[in-house]
Amino acid sequence: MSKSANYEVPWVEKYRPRVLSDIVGNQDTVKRLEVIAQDGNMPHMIMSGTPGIGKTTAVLALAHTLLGPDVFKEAVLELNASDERGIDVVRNRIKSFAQKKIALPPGRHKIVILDEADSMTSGAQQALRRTMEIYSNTTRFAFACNQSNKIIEPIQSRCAILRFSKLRDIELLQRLRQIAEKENADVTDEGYEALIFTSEGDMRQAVNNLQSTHTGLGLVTPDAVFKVCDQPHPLLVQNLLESCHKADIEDALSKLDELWTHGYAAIDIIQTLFRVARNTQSLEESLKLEYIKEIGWTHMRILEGVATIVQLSGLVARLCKMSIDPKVFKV
Amino acid sequence: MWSEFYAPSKVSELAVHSRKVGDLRHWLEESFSDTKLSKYRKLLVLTGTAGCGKSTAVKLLAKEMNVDVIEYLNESTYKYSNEDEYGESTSKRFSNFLGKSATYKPLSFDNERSNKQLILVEDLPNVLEYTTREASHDALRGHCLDGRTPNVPIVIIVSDSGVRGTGGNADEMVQTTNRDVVDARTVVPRDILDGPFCTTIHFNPIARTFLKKHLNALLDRHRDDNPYGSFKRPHDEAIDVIIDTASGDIRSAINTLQLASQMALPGSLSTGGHKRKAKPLSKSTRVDMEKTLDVLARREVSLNLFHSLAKVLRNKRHGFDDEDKVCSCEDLPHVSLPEHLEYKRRAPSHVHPTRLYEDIPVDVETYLLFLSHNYPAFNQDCDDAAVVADALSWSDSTSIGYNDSKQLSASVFEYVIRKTLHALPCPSIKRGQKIRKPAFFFAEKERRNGIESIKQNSRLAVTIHGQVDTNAIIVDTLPMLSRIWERE
Repeated sequence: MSKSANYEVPWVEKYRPRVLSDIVGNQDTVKRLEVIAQDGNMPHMIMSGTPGIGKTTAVLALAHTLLGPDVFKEAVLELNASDERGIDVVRNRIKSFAQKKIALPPGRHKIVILDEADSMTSGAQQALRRTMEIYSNTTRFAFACNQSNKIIEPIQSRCAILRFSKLRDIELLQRLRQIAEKENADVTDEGYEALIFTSEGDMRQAVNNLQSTHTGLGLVTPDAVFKVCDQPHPLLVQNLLESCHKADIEDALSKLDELWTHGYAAIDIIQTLFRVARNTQSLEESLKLEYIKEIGWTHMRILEGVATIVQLSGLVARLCKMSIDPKVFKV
Repeated sequence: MWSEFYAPSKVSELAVHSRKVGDLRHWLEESFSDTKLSKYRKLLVLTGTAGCGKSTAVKLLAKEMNVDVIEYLNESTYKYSNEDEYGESTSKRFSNFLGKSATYKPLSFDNERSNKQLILVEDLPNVLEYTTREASHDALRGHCLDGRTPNVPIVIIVSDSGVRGTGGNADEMVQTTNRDVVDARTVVPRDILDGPFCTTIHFNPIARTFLKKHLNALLDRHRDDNPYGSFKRPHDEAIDVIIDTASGDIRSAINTLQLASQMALPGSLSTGGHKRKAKPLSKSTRVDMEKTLDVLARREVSLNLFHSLAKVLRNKRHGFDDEDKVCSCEDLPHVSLPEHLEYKRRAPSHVHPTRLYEDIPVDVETYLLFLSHNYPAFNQDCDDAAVVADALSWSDSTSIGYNDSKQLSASVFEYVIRKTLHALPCPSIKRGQKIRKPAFFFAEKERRNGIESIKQNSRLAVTIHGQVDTNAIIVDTLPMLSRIWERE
């Protein structure tokens, strides 16, 4: 790889694991895939889980191991949600791929990978189920989806379902450290924390944020990360919530104003508020849940289109009121 | 794949209940008989969950009765050089196919060949699209009314495509106008489905005992096929777990079994598995084995959903041990609470709502639907139940129309779970409550059937209103009509 090139490959692609053993997280699931890789007989599969946790990576790595680099290009058909995937594509492209004759290693199959399969219309899925059965001795299917209950029952019945869960913080950290080391990026410990906070268990997002912070601002510190991701600093938000808890409305409002003048969108502020509120240790459960409710209300209003400081101030005021004895308000 | 490699080759090997097979055989026999009855055996609709042996049963019976099966396949719409002349449109293809197959016999190369035929439609035409649906309905209608002999019956196989264990998706059920479901009613026109020419046979999910017998027989065969292989037979208890998660779907059970034996489950018998009677597993091996199977074959809805519901409803908190006795509270951080709210203080919960949100196998709405059906049994008094009901109602009013916002649904979910936990008694009161599937699905199905039949019989309403408005019929016309009739 030439270092002289000025433009870089996205790190997500550059450091995408090529073999199963490199995949971080979901140890149990990956172990099953390794057994399949040894055995060679890949069943039809559904992989479900939130974005950025290695579903596609896992199946690509599996296909690599099963088929070897030469055949891989020819014997794998990958269709994404962005590709046209109506009934016609299912009937024509997938079928003609299934009929295509390719010299494969013995005991191996061609693989069709359908990414984001839950966005396929149910008509297209219906059209697929017979194809799966007719060609199953030469072609195997892998569906990646966010929610496997969006896949119709007859297809679920034909597939092994593998669930991928969100990556734990420690797993994200491990991978981010590796990448930062290889790229000689300077990341502070708090910088890692910030990356993990902003990514919410999504590895792709975490790596992207790492790269953009590194290329944009050099040293990866929390401030830099939140600046690049354009998210309010959770520490500021935490302070805001603490002021609310103390029923210090003047202080809380001035902190909100500070956030607002930074130019953050109302939706960003409300999302950070929610995430800080649910993780904070300084709120008692009964109060915390009322906070979440109020934040949810305001969130809804913002989605309705009233993304104004008035709504946010109202939220802050209501949060403050909760800490004040209701007798005070009686006239 | 085992599900195909070890597919049954004789009718007697089928895992389907023998009475259903009998029904099916009876129908086919009548259809090919010379009696007058054969006129009414034109169309057979097989319904049932996926993987309960519908297609296999038909194919094997046909083989046994020496009937040729002609299968309808949606061929690729490949471009002919000038399509208008040679190509047939998708909507027409089905009717052309039916016409052709009913009229012409296949070339026979030997005289022993039967002249009995049946048409199997498994790969349905795209009935979700209006013109195609109408065209295929017409084709079926035409076929049924056509009095030609010999009889060429059509067998249509329709798998229920709901979500396992729930019988339908919550938000799918809410939209009444939703025609995006492929079921017997969309495939076959109503007048034919209820008419004399058509018979419907519903296949039930395969019973546990049958499943078990078949899985064991299959393992025996596999062992005999690979006498020197490194085949490790899964433990008897593992097979039970597989059967539990498959919920009557034999294909998925076999697939899971194949995967399970490929990867040597904890507790598998390495001796080639001759002995069926093995020692029961130790508790730790069993937990291991279940964990492995869980990753392997967790059907999305099923045990897992009920487990996570139970976790919330049992409401375990710090400061109580496993038997719900008060034990010494660990040194937990004491967080301040305003004095007037002090009565709301609870011991910290063992349930972690954020993690629960990540782990639930269904969408938030479905989960909350299950919760709303099950919480009352676990509440102690009305006031607490009202709190939960309030939270659920709030979640409804907040999340309608915002399905796309993951963040909002997360906060709705967390609020409802936390509020529910807060309102439930701790330690939980045990009176043998069971967690059940919501009655909503059943009621909704009834309602849809009702609407469907009103639509069918609404000629009267058409003359009154000029156009059919189902809601108006239900709310105004029908109640008024029944009053008028009562008077008379």
